[in-house]
Amino acid sequence: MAKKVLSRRSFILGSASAVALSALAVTGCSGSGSNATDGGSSASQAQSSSSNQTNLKSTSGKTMKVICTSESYQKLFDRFTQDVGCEVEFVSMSSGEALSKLKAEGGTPAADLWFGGGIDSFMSAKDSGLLEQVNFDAASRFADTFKDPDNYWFSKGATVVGFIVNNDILGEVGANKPASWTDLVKPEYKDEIIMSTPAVSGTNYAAVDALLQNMGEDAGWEYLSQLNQNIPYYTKRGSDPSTRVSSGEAGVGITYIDGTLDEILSGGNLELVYPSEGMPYMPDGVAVFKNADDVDDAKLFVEWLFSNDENLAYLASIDKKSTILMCIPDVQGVDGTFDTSQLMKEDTTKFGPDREAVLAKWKEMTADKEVVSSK
Amino acid sequence: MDGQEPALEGRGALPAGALRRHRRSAVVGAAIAVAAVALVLLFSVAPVLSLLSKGVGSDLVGELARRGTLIRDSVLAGMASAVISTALALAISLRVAYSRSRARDVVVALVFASIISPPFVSSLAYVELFGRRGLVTHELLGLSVSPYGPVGVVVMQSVFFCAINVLLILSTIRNIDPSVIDAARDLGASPSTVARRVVVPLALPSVGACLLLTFVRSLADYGTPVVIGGSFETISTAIYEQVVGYSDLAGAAVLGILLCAIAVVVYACYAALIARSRRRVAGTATSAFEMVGDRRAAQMTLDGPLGVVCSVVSWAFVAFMVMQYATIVHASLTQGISWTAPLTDANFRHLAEYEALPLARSLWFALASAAISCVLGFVCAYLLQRGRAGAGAAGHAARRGGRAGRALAGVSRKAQALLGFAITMPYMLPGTCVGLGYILAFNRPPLKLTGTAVIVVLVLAFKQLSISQQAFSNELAQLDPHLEEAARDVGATRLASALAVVVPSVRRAAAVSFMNAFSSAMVAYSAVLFLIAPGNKTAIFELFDQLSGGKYGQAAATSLVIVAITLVVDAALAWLFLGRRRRQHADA
Repeated sequence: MAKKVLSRRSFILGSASAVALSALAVTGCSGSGSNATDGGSSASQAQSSSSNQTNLKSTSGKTMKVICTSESYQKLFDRFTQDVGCEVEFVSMSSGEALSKLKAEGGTPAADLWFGGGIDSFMSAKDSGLLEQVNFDAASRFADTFKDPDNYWFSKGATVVGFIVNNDILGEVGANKPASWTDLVKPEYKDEIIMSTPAVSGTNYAAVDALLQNMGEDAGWEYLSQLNQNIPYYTKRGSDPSTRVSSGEAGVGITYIDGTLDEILSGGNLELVYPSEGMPYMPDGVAVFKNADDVDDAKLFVEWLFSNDENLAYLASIDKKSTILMCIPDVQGVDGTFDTSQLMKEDTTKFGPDREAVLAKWKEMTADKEVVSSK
Repeated sequence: MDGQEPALEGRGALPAGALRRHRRSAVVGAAIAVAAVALVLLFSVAPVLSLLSKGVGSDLVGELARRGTLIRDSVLAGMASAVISTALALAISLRVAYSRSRARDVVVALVFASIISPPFVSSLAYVELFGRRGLVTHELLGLSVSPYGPVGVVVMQSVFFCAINVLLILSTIRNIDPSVIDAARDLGASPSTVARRVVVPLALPSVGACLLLTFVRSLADYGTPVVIGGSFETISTAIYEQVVGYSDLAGAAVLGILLCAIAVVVYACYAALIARSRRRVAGTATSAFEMVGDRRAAQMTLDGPLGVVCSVVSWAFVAFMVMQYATIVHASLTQGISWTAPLTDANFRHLAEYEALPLARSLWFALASAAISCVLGFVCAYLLQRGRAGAGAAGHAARRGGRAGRALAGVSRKAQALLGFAITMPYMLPGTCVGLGYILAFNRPPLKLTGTAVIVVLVLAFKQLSISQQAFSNELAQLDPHLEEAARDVGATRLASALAVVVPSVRRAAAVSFMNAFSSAMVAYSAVLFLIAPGNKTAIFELFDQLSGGKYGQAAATSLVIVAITLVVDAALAWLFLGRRRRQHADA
């Protein structure tokens, strides 16, 4: 069991340190297919047939503005600036916030590139005509469903959902460590489970939709309403479940799982659980905003990132996970020895179209409960 | 403005040069008035209407009926916060005003510090103290209780909003004519009787104002319920969820319309109260000149049961604040979130390395917005206040001059009421609504401001304009209009008299206005959430990002630095506006 857990963990975390090392050591002069031409004056030849080459150069003189999900991408953007010559400014925002902002801006976005966030928001933005098509050679590298069929968005990895448990708290209430999704509806976890509302957290939307897909519509909703009985309230931020379980406010958190939880995990008697039915996942999107001020550089960025394995490996080291391999299976330099059977089977293409109906039903279900609990 | 013409005519034969000067002054004055009104329409009214209009056409009644529980819960929590917070503030104000002890300064300092308690982080400190593993509840009392829910929200809001209420009530108490208190004392009343029978009744209008303002603030507050509300939802968090979770601007607008309706009622109550309070203050004033001076509270020391109650409340407040700040300081020196985590200076090193620029930007935005809010607040207050006197004069003329004059006075009064309400709108709505309104209103030519720093500064300035204007209005109401008339009688133009006579006398209001706008801007999050563009990141944005990433230590360090910067600037302002004046006073 311990070994199995270890292998699952390594799947998510990748070999972060090794990835970082290789990414730093290989600065464009080694590795398969790399022609070491960056810095050369062949910049004008922007479209290269070789996938591992970054002789892209920005000529706009503009600063690319990015909405991303975390400050940690600073290093990646620095690398882009160094390679391509375009300055980058960014601000972090959840995908729901970004989508609302985008819609309110009425087709005059204040940013150029959207980097990270649940793919459901990207699907919705595409349907609203807010994204720009980006065609480039390496787009063909993506696995099915990890990019938009018409090249309006691309996935740079996935967010995987599991549990975090606080053994002190579970011991206090006399509950065992849950091993599966079905365990969570047991009465012993009453009021001990924290989850973010799927309306705000893309990660948890993936969990809800994937569970519905796997259990079937009727059984799925039955399960969710039982789970609802055990959840005292839904938080509004994706990071709340892990931080609150870590500070002992609840026994079990339904959370994203990646290397960035390490800091929290070191803080107490905490453990990650990879549910036996599998882990739902939410592809993590990248897209260019339509009508943006600096569309060209944003397109360059997409091409720069996905055409070069060193860049992708560098990204993996920042994200502290190797899920890019799900999106582009042939990426070199990222440890790829993992077993996708640990993931839940899900059809992510349904996330966009399903979203509205699922959330409406979800709202109804949890609102009923709110009335009950306020008696 | 109708008042100035008769006044000008009444002065009779002026030399030609003086007449030109007066005409020019009238033109400049009118231009300033028109500009101020235009700015309010553009940046207070237009954005709010842009958002609210999204809700037009949706099933208002049905939506509101479905939200019955939500509305009831929000209103109840708002009322509870208002009552508790105001009661706390009254007790603390009495203790501070009627005490000779040095400890008073400690209380005052902590009250000031708590005005700028950054959102989110103080609520997290509450959880660390009173949560299931809280230092107080679990370690000391051996309890294991959930801190999430309405109680936590009400407690945090009561404490959080207490500070500004203390300042408002304290300034009223300090404005009470000392001779009234001396008279009561001379008649043999104990200090506690004087406090109950004289001071509190005189402070009632401002207590009422505190109740209403706190109620509104509580309704608009997002930071507290989102952290410790648990399953307890408020209108404000529901708006956020509607916008961010469902991209449903129409749904958010419906809730915004509801809040606006509540705001209209509250504003009407508030305006009535203020009017009453001014009459009262005017009634106790012995001379207009004395009102201008720096009043000191009558010297008495509160004793008896009331004194004990006030002391206990004050020290409980102090203890709470000290614990809260100790928790935040401790968190800023650790990387985990537990009480046993090892100490480190990594958070502050990270801050020095990455956050100098956002901090500088916050400071700059806050200073700019506070300056705008302060200047425009003064102009608006002057229009509302002196304009009112003008309307009165017009009314006076009307009684002699007939129907047209009467109609003019009526229109002017209504216009003033509307202007007052327009200024209040952004203040009374949650930041999320105002921010979205700004995007909707300014996302296309001729006025495309989205993505710029200007829009951030503007939203911060206009969100707090109401408080600025009210601070100046209160001060202007106490300033005898005859002072200005006297200046004009000796030949000063209207503009010059306003500058020379009024401006120096409203320093205290300027200080309050600037400090409030500055402090609010430093910690404003939800209003700028949608407006901050890449390249314009502020410190509070970094803070929220750190919280979202679970980096509580970094967030605590950031919040401490924000508080420190704000305190330093506020102290400098207090010295600049008030310290100098005190010295001038001493010289005189």
